[in-house]
Amino acid sequence: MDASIGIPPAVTEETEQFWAEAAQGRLVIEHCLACGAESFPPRGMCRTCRGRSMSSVEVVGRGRVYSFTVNYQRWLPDLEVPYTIVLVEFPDHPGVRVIGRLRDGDPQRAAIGLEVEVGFEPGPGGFAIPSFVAVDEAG
Amino acid sequence: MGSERFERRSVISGVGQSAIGREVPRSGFQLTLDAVTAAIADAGLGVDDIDGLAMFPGGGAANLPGYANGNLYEVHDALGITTTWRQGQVEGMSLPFYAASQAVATGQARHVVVWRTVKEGSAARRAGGRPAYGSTHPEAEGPLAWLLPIGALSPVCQVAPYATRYMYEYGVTREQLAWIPVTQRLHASRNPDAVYRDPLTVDAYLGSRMISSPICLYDCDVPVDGSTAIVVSAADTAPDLRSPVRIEAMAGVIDGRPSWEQWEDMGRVGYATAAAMWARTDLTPKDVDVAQLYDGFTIEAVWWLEAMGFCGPGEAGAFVEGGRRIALDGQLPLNTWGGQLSGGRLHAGFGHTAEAVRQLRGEAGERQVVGAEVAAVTNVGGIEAGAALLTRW
Repeated sequence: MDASIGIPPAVTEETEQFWAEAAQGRLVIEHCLACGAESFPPRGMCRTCRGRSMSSVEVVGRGRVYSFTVNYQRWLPDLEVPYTIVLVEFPDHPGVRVIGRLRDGDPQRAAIGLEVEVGFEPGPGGFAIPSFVAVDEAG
Repeated sequence: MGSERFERRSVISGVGQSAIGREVPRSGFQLTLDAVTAAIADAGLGVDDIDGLAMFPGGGAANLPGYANGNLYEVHDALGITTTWRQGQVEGMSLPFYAASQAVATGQARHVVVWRTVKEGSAARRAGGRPAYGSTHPEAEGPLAWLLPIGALSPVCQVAPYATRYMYEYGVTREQLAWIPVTQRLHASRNPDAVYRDPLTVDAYLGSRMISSPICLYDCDVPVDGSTAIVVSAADTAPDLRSPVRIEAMAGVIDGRPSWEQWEDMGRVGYATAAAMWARTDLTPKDVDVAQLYDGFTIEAVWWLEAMGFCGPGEAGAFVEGGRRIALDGQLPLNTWGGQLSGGRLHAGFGHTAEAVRQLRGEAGERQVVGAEVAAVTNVGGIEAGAALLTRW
């Protein structure tokens, strides 16, 4: 399925690193140098201690689907449907949730609690967008 | 009881609406003037009495074609008035009358007109379907930067995961929730201004096309053209007013992450707002005679049924099943004008507020709830939320 039809993100000071890392296949979240808290999306400020010195950390472990929807409506001309949108949380990164697609596969497979691997696929404007893969399909 | 209940120094004095329809062949500006002048007359006031104006949304918030109409300064110029208070956005507390109530309660103005005008019906027709969120912009900015690129191209996609999670946690079914749009359609059949008045059945609901699962066509509100205006006045002007309605209590709390996809507990929305509102009144959920609960999507009305305490968490499915409890003669008549699902997406609680005022005045015609003295009004739920009680004068 082609996920490249759509609207690309505006890249800002806060999000530049996320999209650059995504292009390399890495999912990064914010890590506070003062208190160690992790957060997403990047704000340039720690939501826990309000510190302004933030670094990033890569999410490598598996995630679990918190919720999802299968979109059937063609909101834009040439948009390929249906596709599944998932909200993924990570046992190793409490409080972090990332929205993305569930790549390929049967939309009926989407389920709350489904275990997924981090991944990306080509999205609008040449950006790599988060696109998770069900663990048993990832092999 | 918390802070002083300033809202009781304000009243809703007038409501007015333009023609409402899937397509109304007038400019958004003319619709706005129709609603604004009707609301002022409905209050028993003259245009020269108005000294405050507000609109939703503010100038920059045009994320949807047709979303924002009725520029504040052009309306101001058209009315030829002097104002001592204005606001470009009223979503601060997510009730149409919240900021205006503050303004008149603190003496910054005496009579404030607030309006919301949509031309989303015409815009959808021009686009050949309901347009993608943010499609007026070449790039997705701010909160949309995380949503649009991955294909969450509509508010439907943003809200659908809430419905998925809610149904998963509580075992509520689509067959149960269908009774919200079905019953509201029945109410709309008694509202000459509603856009959809033909009967809707549970079978038709279940057979309708899926938009973004589990949200189907009839779970979505209807984009329309139309304007709603509300006049908010200082309570001590009541002798000058035709038929004011009291603002008993109101609140708007954001106690989670104000982001559609980051809201922590998608099975529970609006609870903090409802609790803060109830803390400002001696009335209880049992005292409410009619409920105008925001219904951009069916699931949003579900949030408010539970958050406001009309039923317990996870009980909304059983509460609405069969439609009896939420009927015009039921224990909690729900969205008696048809709501946004059948009456039209007048948005941001404006249609809901207008209906609450009409019900409390006994001016709701064929859909009047007998003896309506207390009305609940709510708006949105998650990233912005408002809840209020209005009472008969």
